[in-house]
Amino acid sequence: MVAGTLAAVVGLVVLALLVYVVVLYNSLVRVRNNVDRAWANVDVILQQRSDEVPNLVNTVKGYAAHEKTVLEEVTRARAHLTDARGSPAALAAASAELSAAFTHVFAVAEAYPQLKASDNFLALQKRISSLEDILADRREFYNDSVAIHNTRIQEFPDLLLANQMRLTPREYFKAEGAARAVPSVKP
Amino acid sequence: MSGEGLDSYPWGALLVGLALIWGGGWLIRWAWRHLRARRTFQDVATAKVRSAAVGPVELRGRIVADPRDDPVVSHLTGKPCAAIEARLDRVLPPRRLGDREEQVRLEPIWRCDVVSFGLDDGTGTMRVIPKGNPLPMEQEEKWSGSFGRGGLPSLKAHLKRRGVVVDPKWPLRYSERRIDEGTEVQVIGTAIRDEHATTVEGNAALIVVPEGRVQFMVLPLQQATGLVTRGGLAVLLAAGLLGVATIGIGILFVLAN
Repeated sequence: MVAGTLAAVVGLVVLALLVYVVVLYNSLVRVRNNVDRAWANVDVILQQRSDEVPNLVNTVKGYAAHEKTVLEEVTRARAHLTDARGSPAALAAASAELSAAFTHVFAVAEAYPQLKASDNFLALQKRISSLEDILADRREFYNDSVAIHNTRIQEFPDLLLANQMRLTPREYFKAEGAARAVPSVKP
Repeated sequence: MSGEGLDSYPWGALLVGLALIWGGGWLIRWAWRHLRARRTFQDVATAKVRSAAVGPVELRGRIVADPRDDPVVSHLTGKPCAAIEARLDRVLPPRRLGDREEQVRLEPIWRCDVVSFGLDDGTGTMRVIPKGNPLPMEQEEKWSGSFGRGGLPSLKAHLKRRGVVVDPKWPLRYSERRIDEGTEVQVIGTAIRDEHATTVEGNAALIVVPEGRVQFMVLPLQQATGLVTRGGLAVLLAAGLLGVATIGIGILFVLAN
C-alpha cells in the first residue's frame, strides 16, 4: 500500500515535471517567434518608407531641380539602407540617416512655395511622417520583445532549456552616435 | 463528516461530493486560464494601436464606445458605456405548485447584448470583438418597479420606438451588467484586418478577436498588473492547489457514498 502510494506520488511528480518542461519549451519558442515577428514588422515599414524615396525625389525635382546635393543625400541614404539589411544595429544607423535626409529635403522645400503647396508633396510629407511614427512604435515594440527574450533565456531555470535550444541574446534596434538623433518630420 | 452521517444522508453526501468536484474543477480552470494569461502578458510586448500588426497582440488602453456602432447608454445611470448585457422581465404573480409556493416568476420582455467595444490608447482606436468570450463587466445593477411610476424613462422610450408593448402597471425587473467608458484594461488576442472599419488615417482597422490557439482576454489594468507580480502567481498556484484538494475531497465523498 505504502509502496503503491509512493509510486503514485513519484509518477505524479515526474508527470508534473514533464508538463512543466513542455510548457517552458513552448513558451521559449513563442518568445523567439515574437522577436522574429516584431523584426519582420519593423522591416515592412522600413521598406515602405524606402519605397517613397523615388516619389519624393521626382516630386522635388519638378520644382527644385538644382537642389542636387539634398536629392543625392536621400538617394544615398536609401542605398545604405538596402546594403544594411540583416543587422539591426547597421539598419538602425542607415534608417536614422534616411530620416535625417528626409528632414533636409523638407527643410529645403520651405524655400520653394510652389513645392510646399504641391498636393503631391504634401501627401508624401504626410505619408512619410506617418511611417516615421509607426516605425518609432514598432522599434519600441521590437526592443521590448528583445528585452523579454534576452531576459527569459538568461533566467533560471529557463536558461537550461534555452541552452539546449541554442537560443542566443538578440540585438536591439538601436541607432548609434550621431545617427541617434532621429529628426521628427511633420507636415 | 463521519461514516454514520454519510449513511444517514447518502444522496446529500453524493451531491456534496459532486459539488466539490465541480467547484474544484472550476477553480483549476480559473487558475490555469489566468496562469496562461499571466505568461502571455509577460511574454508579449505591449503594442500601440497606431502601429499594431496583424497577429497576436497585447494592448493597453481605455475602453470607449465601438467606433462602428451607435453610442450605448446605460438605462440606469444615463452614462455612456462600451459593453452591456441588459434584460427586462415582467414579474408575474407567484403560482402555487402543490405545497410549495414559487417565489418569483419572470416573463422576458426584452434583452440586449452589446459586447464589442473600442480600445483607445492615445494613438488610435481599435475595435475589440470578444466573440463570446467573457468580459470584465464589473458594474452590475438591478432595478424593480413599473414604467407607470416613472421608472427607466430612456428604456421606456427605447421600447416604444421598437414597438414593444409594456403595460405601465406591470411590475418589472431590470438588470444590467456593463463596462463603463474610460475603464482601463489590458487586452490580448489576435489582430485581423477589417476593411469596413476605419481607425488610423482611413486605413483598414485592426480587430482583436480570439483565433486559433491565441488566448483572448480582457482584464482591468489593475488586475492585469497584479497578475504578473509574485503575489499574483502565489494566488494562482494556491487556487490551483485548492482546486486539486477540493476535487480530492469531493471524490472521497462520492466513494464514501
